[in-house]
Amino acid sequence: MRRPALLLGVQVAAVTAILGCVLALAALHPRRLDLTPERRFTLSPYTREVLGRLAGDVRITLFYSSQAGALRREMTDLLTLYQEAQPHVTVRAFDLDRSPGMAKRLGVSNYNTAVVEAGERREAVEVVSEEAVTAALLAVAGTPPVATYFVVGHGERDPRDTDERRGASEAARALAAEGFRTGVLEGTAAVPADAGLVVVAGPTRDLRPAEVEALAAYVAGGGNALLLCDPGTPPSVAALVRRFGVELAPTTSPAPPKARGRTSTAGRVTAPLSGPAAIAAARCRSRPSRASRWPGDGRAASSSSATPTSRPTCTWACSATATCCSPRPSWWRAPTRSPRRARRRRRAARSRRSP
Amino acid sequence: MTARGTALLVALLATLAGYLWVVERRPAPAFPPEPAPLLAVPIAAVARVELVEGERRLTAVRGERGWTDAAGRPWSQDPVSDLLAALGALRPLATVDPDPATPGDYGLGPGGRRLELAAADGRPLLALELGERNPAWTGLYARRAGEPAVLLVGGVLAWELEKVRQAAPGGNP
Repeated sequence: MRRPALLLGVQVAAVTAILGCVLALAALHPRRLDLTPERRFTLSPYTREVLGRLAGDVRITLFYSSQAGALRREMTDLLTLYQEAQPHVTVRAFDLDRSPGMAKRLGVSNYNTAVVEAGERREAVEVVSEEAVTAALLAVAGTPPVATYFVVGHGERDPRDTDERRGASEAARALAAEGFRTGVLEGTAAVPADAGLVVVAGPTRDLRPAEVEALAAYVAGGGNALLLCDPGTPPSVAALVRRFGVELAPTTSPAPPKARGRTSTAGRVTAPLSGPAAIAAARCRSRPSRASRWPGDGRAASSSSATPTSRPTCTWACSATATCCSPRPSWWRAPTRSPRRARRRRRAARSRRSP
Repeated sequence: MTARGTALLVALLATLAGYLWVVERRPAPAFPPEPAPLLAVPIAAVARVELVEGERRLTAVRGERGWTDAAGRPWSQDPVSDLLAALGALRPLATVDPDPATPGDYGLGPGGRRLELAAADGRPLLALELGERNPAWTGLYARRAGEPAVLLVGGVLAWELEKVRQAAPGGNP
């Protein structure tokens, strides 16, 4: 009897000690696996796309505070993701107090600031987040900003209006963060020559015939337009959208409570969304997109986003090839979903598509 | 589990432990002792304070009626005592560079500001070369005379020096 008990004791001790060794090894050689449903510790597809387009070398210099170790680790972890994703990106980190000369050269006077440099161009990032760093990358190494005009004068959402229900300031801010230069256009009768994108965000009053023709001519000439249509879209806008091959649904009823935050289809596409009929065209295609962030993006030509009540309910008329803008605005946050629910949703979508 | 299984377990444990001991063992981090205050002697031992900034030299001499300048004029307030109290309490926040190649980055070098403290018998108690504020303006670079290491000391020292400058007898030129 004594021997089995002894063996058992040795086994328990050995297994415990082995587990301890494994833990010690894991602590000495940490590896990270992002298992969060939102992929919180993984660069977004948008950032990866931006990084993928980098042709030249980019240097990111981080100035941290030695007093804030956790924040420093968080920032260096994020910047390391950029470096791992794109060999053109090099990351350096300095203690601000120990590098006053370099800080002076780069014009940095605050802790936890990163400077993104590409050639002669330089952009400081005061709050090191993925959104800010990617925006800075675009600013220094991306293509020149696309001039984006929000049309006003027909009850559209105004990019200068900060009201969450009526305004579009958040959308303008998100566009600016992605390398778009936003402005306001009073009517569409004369689209500026430098316009890379014209946004008509939820007009409530009819456009004048001259404005409709000017916008149609602009798109036909290779311009890009994004029309956001609420229920009760004025006939002139509906007719304009129809010319682009998108039929708006007559009405869009509010989604039932269970379906809030989900996407339901409304309207239909009546013509292939390519060529001159496409609302967004080649000039925008060179822009990175966030399209892949949203389920079903890149194929939805007309869909109604039955969003939570604080967000506008819009029908997003957007080309299948449009990559300049997501069928959802950047400020629209997808509800938190469990992977299981997401799989269920994908299965349901597949079954809907199959004949 | 048989004796053989147990032996295997023990062998696995020995291998892992041996690997950890031989390959992964690292020296325990040594925590440096807390640095001494900038002024390591009692404040009462300081009899003379000199702040040299280029051509300008501010002097404070401890007398029976308090601090006076070199000409015997009293200091309007008591910023010198505050400065000494700060020097007696402040410890270097960090040694930012043990031997800088370009001290000018820290505002140090020939012609820079100096703070000198001496005892009644003329014995030097502290001699500091003062540099610039750090980029975030939370501290001040300094180094002890004759030592290459650059220290970062609390920004309160810069504030106390400014008070001394403002309260100098004869105004602030």
